[in-house]
Formats: sequence, C-alpha cells, structure tokens
Amino acid sequence: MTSEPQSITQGKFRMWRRPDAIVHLVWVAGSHITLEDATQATAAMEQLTGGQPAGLVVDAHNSSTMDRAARMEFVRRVDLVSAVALVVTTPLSRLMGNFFIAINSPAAPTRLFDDDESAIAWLQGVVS
Amino acid sequence: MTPSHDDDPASADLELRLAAIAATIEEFAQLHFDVRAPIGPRGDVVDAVAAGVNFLGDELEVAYRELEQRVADRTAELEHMTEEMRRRALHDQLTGLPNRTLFWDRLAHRLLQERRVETCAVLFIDLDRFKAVNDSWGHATGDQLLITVAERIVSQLRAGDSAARIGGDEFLVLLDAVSSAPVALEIAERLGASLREPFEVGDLTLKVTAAIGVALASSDLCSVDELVNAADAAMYAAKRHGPGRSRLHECSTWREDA
Repeated sequence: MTSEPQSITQGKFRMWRRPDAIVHLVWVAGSHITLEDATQATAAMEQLTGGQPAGLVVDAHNSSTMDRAARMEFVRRVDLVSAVALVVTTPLSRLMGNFFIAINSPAAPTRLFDDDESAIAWLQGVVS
Repeated sequence: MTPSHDDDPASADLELRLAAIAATIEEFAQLHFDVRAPIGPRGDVVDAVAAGVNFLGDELEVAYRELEQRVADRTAELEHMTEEMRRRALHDQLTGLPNRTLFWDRLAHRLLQERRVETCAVLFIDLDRFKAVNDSWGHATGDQLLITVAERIVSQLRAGDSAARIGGDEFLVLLDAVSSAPVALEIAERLGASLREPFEVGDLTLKVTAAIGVALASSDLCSVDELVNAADAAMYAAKRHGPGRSRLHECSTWREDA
C-alpha cells in the first residue's frame, strides 16, 4: 500500500498538505512565477490531494511576481481548489493579489490576509 | 530651478525607478507591449506600482490582440458575405450558372469587341415538355434534372463560351467566336444531341429534348436584347417543327467582311 506524499519541493516553491487537509504553498522569495512554475504547482497540488478540491493558502510574503500565463493557469485549474487564501505582507504582493481577484476573477472564493493564522482560520471555516 | 539629487542618492534612485515606470506606461500608450517596468526585490510601493503597470499591460495586450483578431475575423467574414451576395446576385441558385444579369453583361461586353474574322452567337435553349417531368415525378426531380442539364450544357461549351439559366427550363449560351451561321447551327445541333442522351436522376432514367434557337450578332442584330429576342424567336420556330429541333434566326446572315 502506498501513501500519498505530504510535501513537494520544486525549483521555486514548496508545498505541503496539512493534517486538516489544507494545502500550503510557499514561493521562493523574489521569484518570478511563469506558466511552467504554475503548471508544476498545480500538478503538485493534484498529487497531494489526489485531485480532490482543497483549501489552499499561498504564502506570498516575499513579493513574488507572476506573469499572465501563470495567473490564467491558476484560474483554469479551479477544479483543484475549494478556496484560496493569499497571504500578502508587502505593497507589491497586496497589489498583485488584489489585481488577481479583481481582474482574473478566480471562480473559487479567494481572499487576501496579512498572516498565515487568519488565512488558515478562514479556510477552515470555508472548506469545513 | 530644477532640483538636483546629487546629494540625495535615495531620491535619485526613486526618480530613476519612477522614470522607468513612466517610460513603460508611455510604451503601452503607443500599444507597444514588449516592455515591462522593472520590479526590484524590495516589494515596496514603487515595486507595487511597477507590478500594477505590468499587470495592466498584460491585460491590455491580451484585450488589444483579441480585439485585433475579432476585427480581422469580422472583416474576413464580411468580405466572404459580400462575395457570396455578389455571387448570388449574378448566379442562378439552383444550377450555379450565371443568371440573366450576368449573361446580359457578358454579352454586352462581347458585342463591344469588334473582331474582323468572327462574330458571336446566342443559343436559346428550352427543354421540351419539362412541365411533364415536374408533374409526373415532382419538383425535386425536376430541379435535379435542371442541375444535370446545366452540367451537360457546360460540358459541351468551348473555351470562351458561357451558359446561363434565365428561369424555368430556359438556358442561354453565348458562343464567343463563330465564323459562320452554319458553324453556330452545328454547335447547337451537337448540344441538342448531347441533351437527348438519357439523364440519370436518382433511380430514374429520364429522356428529354430541347428546342434551340440560334442568332448571330450582325449589323441587324447588334444589341443584347435584339440578339436574345432573335434567338428566342428562332427557338419558338424550332418548337413549331417538333421536339428536339434547332433553328437559325433568319437575320443571322453574318459573313466575314460583310
């Protein structure tokens, strides 16, 4: 019997599945996220959750930027997420998060938070 | 007096970063999308502004490309529709042959050309007893027969000749170059013989004949209407002599050097 992996590390991110089934994604500080990175991230999420929709907390503390193709990949793979909490602590990450929500209109509930704790608390309430 | 930042490196750096963002916005305003504002590692407000400009540039580029594509698609669609409308205005819907308007235009154009050793001729073709086909087998069969007749007429044409359907079971042929009335009549009789061959329409084998009137352009028949009316009259004269006949109009006396 094989067990599902609980943590995946790729070039620009680390992703793991918490005991409460929420997936946590942390991008490498200052990285520019491309379509290839986004595809790797969605594939990793699919691997961690077995393709079942799950809550996702994205740690963008360290001001990553993302190109349009990457954003559209996250919008396209809405089947993987039940809700998304974006943790933003810099003006740059906050603006990117706000623009993503306003302009790319992700189908899953998506909100910005200042810290991990409130993000996870919100996700637990949404996905439970 | 212009302020100097020589003694304030932070202000100079800020000005440079903002200038780069402003330059990017100017490029976007000119619909140049191959530039992006630089974003530093700080993630501060200036980087946020740069990222916002880039983000909006991404969206503007996509919207602009989509709009361009939509305009191009719509233009192509309109061109296609215009061409189709033009084709429909000049062609018979059933057989695809030129209609009366286009035939008249072609004949008028041909009559403007003066050729010393040859003239042109019009054949007026009317199927004999076509109504009986419609009455016996239905209009769908009649329509299919007309399509097949049109194909056979076209197959008998020489280079430069053209055929038209002007309604019902009536067809016109423009013989672009004929050297004499007997040559025109011979072509008409050959066409009549080809139409006498059986037609396969669905499961049916149908036999039809056609009356063909022939008129040559000459000093007496020099307009489109005169020429077509003469061919029409000759066709009726042919019909009076029985089915499957061809007849030359009496004014068709054109001769070389006449």
